[in-house]
Amino acid sequence: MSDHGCVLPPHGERGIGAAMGVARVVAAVAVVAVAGTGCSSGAMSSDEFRAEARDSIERMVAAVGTAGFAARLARDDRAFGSYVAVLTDDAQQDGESAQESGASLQPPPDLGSVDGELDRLLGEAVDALHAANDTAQGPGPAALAAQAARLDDVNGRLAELKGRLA
Amino acid sequence: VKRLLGVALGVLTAIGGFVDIGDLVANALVGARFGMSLAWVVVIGVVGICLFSEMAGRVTALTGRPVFDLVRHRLGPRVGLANLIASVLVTFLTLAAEMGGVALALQLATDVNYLAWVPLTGLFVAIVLWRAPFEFIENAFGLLGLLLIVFVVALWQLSPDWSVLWQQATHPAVPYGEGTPTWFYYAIALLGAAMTPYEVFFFSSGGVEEHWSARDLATARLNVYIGFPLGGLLSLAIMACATVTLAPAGIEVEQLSQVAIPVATALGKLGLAVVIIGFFAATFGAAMETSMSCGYAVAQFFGWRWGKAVAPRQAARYFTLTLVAVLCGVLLILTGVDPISVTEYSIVFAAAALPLTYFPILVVANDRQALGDRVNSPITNAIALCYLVLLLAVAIATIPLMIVTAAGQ
Repeated sequence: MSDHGCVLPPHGERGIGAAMGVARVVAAVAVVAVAGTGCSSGAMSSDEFRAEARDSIERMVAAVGTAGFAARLARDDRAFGSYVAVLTDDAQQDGESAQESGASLQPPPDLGSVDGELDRLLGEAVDALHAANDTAQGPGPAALAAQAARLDDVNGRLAELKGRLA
Repeated sequence: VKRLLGVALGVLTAIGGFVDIGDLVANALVGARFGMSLAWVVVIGVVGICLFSEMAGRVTALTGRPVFDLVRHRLGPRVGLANLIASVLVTFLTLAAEMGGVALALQLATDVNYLAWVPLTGLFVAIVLWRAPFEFIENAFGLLGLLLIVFVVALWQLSPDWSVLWQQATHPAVPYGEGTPTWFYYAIALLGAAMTPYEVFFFSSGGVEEHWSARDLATARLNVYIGFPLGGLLSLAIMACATVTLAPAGIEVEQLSQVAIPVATALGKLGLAVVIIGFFAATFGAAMETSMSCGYAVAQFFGWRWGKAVAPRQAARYFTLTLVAVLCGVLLILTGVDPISVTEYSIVFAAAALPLTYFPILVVANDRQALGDRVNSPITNAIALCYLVLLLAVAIATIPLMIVTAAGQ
């Protein structure tokens, strides 16, 4: 049994916003479904964990990829500062959401080390996104170009971890 | 020459007015996630909107009355009321999404948070609705929306492997790693985006505003049969741009800012400026059309005076309703709900409500009392019935698919 007690299966906040009334209805249905199962699930099964972890990684890859585009557009002088700043800010928000989703996963005992690696890598990715966004909001798009390599590096390692979770 | 110019203007505004926030988000999202494998849905959606818009235009041109005015008489108040409630709710949600889209477009241009732009957007929409003539509302933003052709230029500039795009589009299959229910859920979203009910309300009511008669039928048909398919091509270009640029990077579209990435990548600052203005025009024009459609639907149902040609004092209930819809849309977006999420819900619910919009049109388009011998041909009826079966299946499947896929996740 997990220390975290009875929890809802984590789901992302991607795309459809949790604030919508219908999302609440969907959430209510999920609550009923969980209650119907006796609320007995703690840690996930290995397959469930892998699937959820891959989903969190995919979302983080999307966020880091977006920031990577922002950095390359800035480097090549192909976008206005305002657009680049919005792009990096959106990427940071999406990345934070993906990190929250990844952090809420309950790994089975045999995947505890993978979960640790996932948390660390998602944290690194969010740090890179914060740095990119801070640069875009502060020094400006030109300085952001230097972040492109770091973002690409993080994304490469995320893709590698996702491959191992397949 | 004047007539030819009128036709050209109508076609151009139909193209520019076809794409709204729903099309922008749905096509980019689908392209980034599923490639061109759902392009067939856009084709089905465009054929459907052409089919039913032609019927609505014909009814208006021959009777001088908008479709939903006749629906109440033909189907009775009870069915008409159910239709009205569903249609107005979906149209209101679309209005909120469009105003959120305007605010997001302004954020892209200024880096000022979109929430700060929402009240100003509402105020601007209200002022234009109050002051501007119908022709201005219809033409100005439709023509500016044509700037979204920049997606076609960007796609060309990106030099994609056309054979791969064609292969994906003509051999639809669920991409590896995606579930079939999710694929169908987004197919429904795309269909809802292409066949949004408000487009028919606005088209039909606009015909009355412009005093269409039987002589205008040919023009209306040209607008529909040329303008909408070309608008559909714009949708496919948005999808293809996302397929070529965003999908290889693993980017799933969650923000309007991401929709513009392919254009900036291909065309730089100039393209980016054009696409942001295009976003603004498409969403602002649709915000006005949806707010007017809320007023049209209710006023026509209850038999109130309505229309831009009538002085606000003489059509007080219509204007009040329209402005209240704008205000409520502003308040909804100001709650902080994600405008892109509102967009996604609006197109999915639009898809679920499609039979309520299109079944009455089919009934009225077969009414010999109203249309004489200009009722639907047997072929038109056969195709329309196939569509109704499809739309009914979509309506039944939408909510279960939404639950099963956790709204497409």
